Amino acid sequence: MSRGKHATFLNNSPIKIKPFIILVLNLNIWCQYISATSYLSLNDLTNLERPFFDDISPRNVSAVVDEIAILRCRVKNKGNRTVSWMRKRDLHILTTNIYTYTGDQRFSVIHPPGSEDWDLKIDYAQPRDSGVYECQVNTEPKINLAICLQVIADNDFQDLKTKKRFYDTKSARAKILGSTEIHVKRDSTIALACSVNIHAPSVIWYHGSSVVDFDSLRGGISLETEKTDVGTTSRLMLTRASLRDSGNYTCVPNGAIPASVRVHVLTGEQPAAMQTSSAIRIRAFTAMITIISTKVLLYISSLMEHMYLRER
Amino acid sequence: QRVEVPAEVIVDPKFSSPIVNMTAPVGRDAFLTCVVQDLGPYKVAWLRVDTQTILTIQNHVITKNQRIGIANSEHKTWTMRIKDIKESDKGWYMCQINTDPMKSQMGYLDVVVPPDILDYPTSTDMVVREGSNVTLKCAATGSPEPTITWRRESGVPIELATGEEVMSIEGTDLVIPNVRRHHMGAYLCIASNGVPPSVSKRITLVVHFPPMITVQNQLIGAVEGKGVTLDCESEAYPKSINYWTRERGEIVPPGGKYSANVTEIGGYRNSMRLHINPLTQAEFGSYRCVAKNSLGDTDGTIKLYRIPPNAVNYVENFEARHKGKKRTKSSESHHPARAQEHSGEDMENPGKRKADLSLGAESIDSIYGNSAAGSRRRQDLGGVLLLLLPVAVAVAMSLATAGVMRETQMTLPPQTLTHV
Repeated sequence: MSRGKHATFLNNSPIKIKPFIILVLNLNIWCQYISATSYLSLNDLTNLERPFFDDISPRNVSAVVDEIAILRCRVKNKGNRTVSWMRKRDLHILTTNIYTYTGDQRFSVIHPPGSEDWDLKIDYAQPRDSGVYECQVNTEPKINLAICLQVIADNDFQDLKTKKRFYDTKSARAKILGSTEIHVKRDSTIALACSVNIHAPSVIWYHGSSVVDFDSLRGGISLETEKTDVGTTSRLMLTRASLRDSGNYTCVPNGAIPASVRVHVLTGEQPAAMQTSSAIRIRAFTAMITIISTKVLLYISSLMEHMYLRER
Repeated sequence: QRVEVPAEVIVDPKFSSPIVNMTAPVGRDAFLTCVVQDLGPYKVAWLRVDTQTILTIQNHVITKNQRIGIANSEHKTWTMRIKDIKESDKGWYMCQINTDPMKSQMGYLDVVVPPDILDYPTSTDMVVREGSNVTLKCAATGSPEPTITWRRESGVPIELATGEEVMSIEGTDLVIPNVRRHHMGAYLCIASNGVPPSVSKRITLVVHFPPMITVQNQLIGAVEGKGVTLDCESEAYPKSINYWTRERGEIVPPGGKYSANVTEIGGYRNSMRLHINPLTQAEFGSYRCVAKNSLGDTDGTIKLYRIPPNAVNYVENFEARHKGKKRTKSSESHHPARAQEHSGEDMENPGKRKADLSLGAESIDSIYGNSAAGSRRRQDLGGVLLLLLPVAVAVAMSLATAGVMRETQMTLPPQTLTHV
């Protein structure tokens, strides 16, 4: 008798349950797809990103006595970690994030809010300040960037002026107008602009580590420098952009801190951003199968329980 | 922003006492304490000198190392704690005050590790042939470097190459040239470095040698009608099979008037005894005690002769000892003159019984007997099928879902999905 009931229930179940199952699966497909995508996005951010140094600044810095010395440290993906400066000579802690720890008040941190720069500023640099300084991030184990500072006496000023680059007392700084990441299509024109808050005698542009050469075979390069009351502006234009024009461009005004901009020359194919999202989709697909399989298992087990209860 | 404090109140801080160096075993917690006087508005920081890593600043733990902690008592005693220390934590640590110029002092943390014996290249149990050379090796790790001591189990002394005997000897290698049977036994390699617990490893040395038989009394006289006991001692390893035979090679049958037993005296020594009671003319003659093992065999001969009842007072037992294979062929010459006259009258009747093979079979079984192998039952797999059914259905449905998903990826608009 019980077997007869069992068989009867099995015969009836496909007809009754089938539409419901299809409906549930349809809903699951879209819900799991959306949640899996957003879940993986957050997961990628937490797991894959680890702090590292954007190492574009010089490892050897020279300064003049009683002037300001600036040691640069740019940290990518800092997160909630701490950036500290330390003097290697005696392991003296100088700063932690934006706070000055050392009793020597000449040390401070330059960190424009929202930026990735944690530069160490030393006012009235002295010859005894020469040595190795370390920018340290408290990962486990730590990562660190060592920068060598050399403070030169005033009587060497004339020689230094002709040979080395130095920074002005007012902390003159170059600034890129617009975004620091530029994407242009191939064969279009690259337009870069840089302004500095002093009357710079000259402004030199670097592409990577070499000076932009107006007389090179490439051609199509123009530079326009404008001096106003508040400072100097330099505009660099390169026509008919090609892949070789991609890279880092640095604006180096005489007597001011340089600034950089990164140029990406795109071909007609898909941009890099979309490849990233497609990668996430592939992972989302895998996660989706796992989640749906789990839900189906739970559903079937509850269905089995229902069948047993009905028998009793 | 610094809070303005009257200048006359601020006193330059200083260290009250140096940092006390600490020694701790692996896995424990370590503490380094920095005692500061008149700290005032200044701050205290801890650094790791070897890696030049900032650990703590005032009450904040800067490092992401979860095992580092900081505690202070009234801003005077600044204790840095390292939990569950590892060997890599060994080194110098610096306590620093942010005065201008900066003040600092350092303390050393020594991490000690209990000894541990390495499986390689430490020797394992060894089986050697007597006469060969043996070197037992033992290697151990630990901090500080452990010392290795060799000792024999149960207080047996170790015999050196010079013949001297000592209770223990130091060194990673224990050399035993020309191994003899009395070197057989368990040796202990003990590694210790002052950090408990010390550790030891037991290495068994087994010495194989062929059998050897010692006969205390080679000539035994007995009175007819009474009982007599024949005695042999054998040494052998691996353990030998021991039995008795008459002069023509037939094995002495157990039961009846014959009773034989083998008693173990030491690790490799046995005592063989044959009791004959009562004696008749048939039992007089030569007997052999035989010992056999996988490396060889040997035997000893005992001559049993008849003594007239009235001549007991005039007969003495000759004691002789010899090793290895040796047969006495001129035993008649040892008889006294009177005994010779009577022995002529009582001639020996050689036993015509066939050797009983069951004796050997039983002996072999008793020596090499094994316990019966237990049979194991297997569980039936009936119940598993019921469990697999839902899983199979789930897999099928998930595969169908995968197919649906692939179609969905191709067509982005959700309207197409309704048709599926």
